[in-house]
Amino acid sequence: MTRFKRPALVGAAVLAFVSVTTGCGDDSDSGSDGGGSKVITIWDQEQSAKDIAEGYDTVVKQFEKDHPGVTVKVETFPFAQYRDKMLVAMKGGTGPDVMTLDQVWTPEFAAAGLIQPLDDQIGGSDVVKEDDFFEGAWASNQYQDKTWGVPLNFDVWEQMYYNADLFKAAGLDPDKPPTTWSEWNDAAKKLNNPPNSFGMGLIGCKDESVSVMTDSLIFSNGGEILDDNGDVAFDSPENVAAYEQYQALLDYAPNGTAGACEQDIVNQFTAGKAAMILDGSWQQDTMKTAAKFDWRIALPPAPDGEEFVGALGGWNLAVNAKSDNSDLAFELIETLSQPENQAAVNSLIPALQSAGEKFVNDNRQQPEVILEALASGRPRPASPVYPQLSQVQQAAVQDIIGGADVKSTLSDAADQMQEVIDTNS
Amino acid sequence: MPPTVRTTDVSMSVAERVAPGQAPGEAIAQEKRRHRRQTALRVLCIIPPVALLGALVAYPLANAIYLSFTTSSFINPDPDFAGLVNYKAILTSDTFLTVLKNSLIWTVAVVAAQFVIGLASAILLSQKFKGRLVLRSMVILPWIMPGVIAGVLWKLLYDPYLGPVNALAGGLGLVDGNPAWLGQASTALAAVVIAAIWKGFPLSTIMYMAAYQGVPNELREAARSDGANAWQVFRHVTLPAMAPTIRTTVLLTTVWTFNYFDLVYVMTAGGPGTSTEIFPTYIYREAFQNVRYGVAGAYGVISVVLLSIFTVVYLRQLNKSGGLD
Repeated sequence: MTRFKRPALVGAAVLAFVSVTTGCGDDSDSGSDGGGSKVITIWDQEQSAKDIAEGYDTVVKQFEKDHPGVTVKVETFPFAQYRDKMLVAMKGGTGPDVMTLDQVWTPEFAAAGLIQPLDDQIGGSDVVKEDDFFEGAWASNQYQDKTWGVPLNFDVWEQMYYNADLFKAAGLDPDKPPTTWSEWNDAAKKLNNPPNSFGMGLIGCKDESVSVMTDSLIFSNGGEILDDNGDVAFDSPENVAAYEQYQALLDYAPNGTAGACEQDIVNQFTAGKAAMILDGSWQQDTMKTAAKFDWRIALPPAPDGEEFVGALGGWNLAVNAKSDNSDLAFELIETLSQPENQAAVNSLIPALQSAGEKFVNDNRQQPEVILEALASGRPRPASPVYPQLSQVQQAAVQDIIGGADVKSTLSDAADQMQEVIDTNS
Repeated sequence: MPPTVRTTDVSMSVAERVAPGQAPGEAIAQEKRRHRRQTALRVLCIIPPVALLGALVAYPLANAIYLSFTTSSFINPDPDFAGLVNYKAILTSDTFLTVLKNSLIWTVAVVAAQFVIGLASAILLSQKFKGRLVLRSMVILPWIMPGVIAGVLWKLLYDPYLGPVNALAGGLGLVDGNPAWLGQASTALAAVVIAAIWKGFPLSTIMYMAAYQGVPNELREAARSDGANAWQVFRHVTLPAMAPTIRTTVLLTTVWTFNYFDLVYVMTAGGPGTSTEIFPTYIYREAFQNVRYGVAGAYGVISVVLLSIFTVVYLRQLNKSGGLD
């Protein structure tokens, strides 16, 4: 018996120690520390070119100087994990005071009561003014007649990146890229040289990028996802035609589109395997370093007789409904809304018009193409169930890639979307 | 075979423990005290694992069962009791049939192939040849590799243009063009099944190697001297002797394969479409991407029920034919 005694006591002591120390885990710290200094946390996603942390350092220093006794904690996460981490934190009550939210998440978070409306603070602010921002960016914060955020950055899906060298090799004039869908299919056919190079690199994998990219095809053809009354219009003839165009382009894309995400088609393009891809201006940083050939951008082709209409996107700054420091949080947002600060923390186009245009002109190749795409863009539906609608859309695209009939696929998808809206209203 | 607990103290009789010069009454009292201390010790030792099991298994299970009877969403996060609504919706949906079918094909194919390959490699590795030790240590590599890494590795292998699978198959004239094995609904499930077989067969190999080498050679020689050929020796002597290990290993691999998440999720995330959605990936999608814990809980309960039915039927079948030992 005695030979069991010592190990048993040691074991019990270890267990007690472990349970006590794990109990002393992270305490949620999204509010003030009670006396002493206040801490506000802001969450953002990591961005492509700059080290965002550096950009935030200047802003944080300025803010802390203007507000003695306040510390600002900046945390950034890769995009792929950002939403999941955000959901878990907000549900667990440990979310940040200020957060960047994708435009399409803003109505959802507003409907869930996780963020607070900012109309009062914006009304009393000298810095944040609606007219200073891009119209589409400001509109993405409106839900049920309230303003739920302040735009941080703004961009549009998409431009067409094309490989001028491959164009020349196929006998096409790189100064005259295709502008209509029929020209597009012809060019893609001429550029199609499997298995060495293909006409198009197309996104097809199941995530938001396929929704927003095909949205630009839909919008350019006059279609929409939800009509003005909020009813589902996903199976309209215009949408059918748009997805048939997508299906036609699949012939000129490498195998495996159903698993190709944005990063994959960028790799295909920079490796010289895909002559044309559809992607946003934020990829220019990657192209500058990785594409070792004459690459150019153009406004994507539109249906014969129509103009290209892109799908708008971007990120907004919102304030946590449970923040203990909402006033300070809004002041941080005001600081971030000053032109030089917007430029500092963004490697996407700042949502302030003055800063945004300057940014595009200074940092982007062919800025006039980008500005034109921005001006013509339309937003995705501002619905609290948008992420679920998008999932239905993504599943439909996967079926279309597999060769399913476009009309019946869209019709089924429209029914599912209607069901989502009905069960959530 | 449950481990038997031996406590050397109790196995001796009281009479044997009477110390010289000690009255028998005293010895009995001492024995009772010892017994109580041991019971107290046993209870004390059992509490930590039971508490751990309770916290890590019983509580989440009970919580999932509770959630399966509620509905909630990201917008309305407080669970509302909704009875059997989730179950009704699931059992009448096409997606459930797809997930069920995929899970069954996935589990059966992987377990069967791992059994055959595991057994074959176990026998091969039990023969004496040069380099046997090196091969034995290499064979375990797929199993110890983290599932996520294995998934990424196989994604590269299956790459339509850069991957060695197509290079080899195309070179041998087996395939035309460069099919995207993971990108086509018709081939994606088969592709992840092959990856999973590669990933898990070493466990079977090791178990069967131990069992194979545990078969006494006298039995084999006796059979041979009775005129049996190699195949008959294997079929009637070796296999039955290995039967306990085989049964245990098959049960374990079935349960583990059914619940295996990382490999499939990294390779296809359940796509294209729903062609590789199995219970674990679909539960993950419903819980963490769609934020519908009620539906996810219901799927989880269904999956636990399926596995439990299988296990009960399996064990009952075994008990009829001789048990796990």
